[in-house]
Amino acid sequence: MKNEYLEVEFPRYWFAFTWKPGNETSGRGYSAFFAPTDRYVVMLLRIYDEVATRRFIEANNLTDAFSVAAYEADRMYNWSLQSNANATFLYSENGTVTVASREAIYTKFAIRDGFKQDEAFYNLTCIFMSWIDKQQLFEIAFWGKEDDWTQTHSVFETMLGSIKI
Amino acid sequence: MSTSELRLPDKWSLIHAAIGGGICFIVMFIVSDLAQGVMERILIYFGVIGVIVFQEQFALARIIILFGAVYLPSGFFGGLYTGYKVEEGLKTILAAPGVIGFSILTILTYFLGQFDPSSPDFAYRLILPLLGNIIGSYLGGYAMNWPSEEEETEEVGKLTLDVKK
Repeated sequence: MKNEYLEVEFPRYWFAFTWKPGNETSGRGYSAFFAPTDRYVVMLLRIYDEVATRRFIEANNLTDAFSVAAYEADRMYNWSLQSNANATFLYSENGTVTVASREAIYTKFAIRDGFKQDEAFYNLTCIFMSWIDKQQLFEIAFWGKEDDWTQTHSVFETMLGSIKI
Repeated sequence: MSTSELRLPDKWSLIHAAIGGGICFIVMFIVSDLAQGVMERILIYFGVIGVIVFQEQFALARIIILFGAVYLPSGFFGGLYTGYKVEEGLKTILAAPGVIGFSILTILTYFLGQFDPSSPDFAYRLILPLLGNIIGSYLGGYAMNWPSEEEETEEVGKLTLDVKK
């Protein structure tokens, strides 16, 4: 997939769509969603313009790329609490990774019993990446059921390596 | 072109045309979702669901496929009924089932909030279904009245031979 926002290679058997949220006043964004059709795992890419970046950071009292990743992790955990109030947040690691020649901050974590499917609970594994470049915020999320996440992680890494912005 | 076919349709012809329009709409309503579901399953089966990321191109391809799989056949069924019930003024009356079926679907789409004039493929989504319904309707109507049309042609041929003698 190649357009004015980004270039990324993804498996053709993965479901994918893009959309552009926002408007002139709230700022514009670009989002891309990728997911295989046979596994519960999702990759999400989000690019904010300058206005949207400023509004997003101000609205959520964030300061930098790391706080954005931490905020998204918190949001993910709150979402999983809606399906299971006993879901447990398991921190894994923070670090930096190079994406499209930029240094991104990432936070990796798991949520025990954070996902409900067919009346059974499964563990969620998530990684959130973010960086700010020229006052524009970039976010990448890759999360899903633990087993599916592990099995598709190599595909995610290939996709990550192919991203050009 | 016979003068009888250009006559204004009578009350019963209009009623049958309206019923034909209803049939056209019902077929369209039922088959539309089915065809889109089948299309999606085919893309998944062949492992090419990723093509939907090319939204504009895919929207055009989808509407062309639906033209052949939904709009032509639905118009055809509406035309079959109308052609079966009405024998005179077919050239005029056969446009009605397609137009009526399309109009009902468009009104329903509007009230369901799926009518989006700002959509980039809006013109295609308007013109191709209408065209498919009308062409299908004529095909169905004349399929029902084919023998009588053929007889008329044969009669003209005989008349020409008589003049030569």
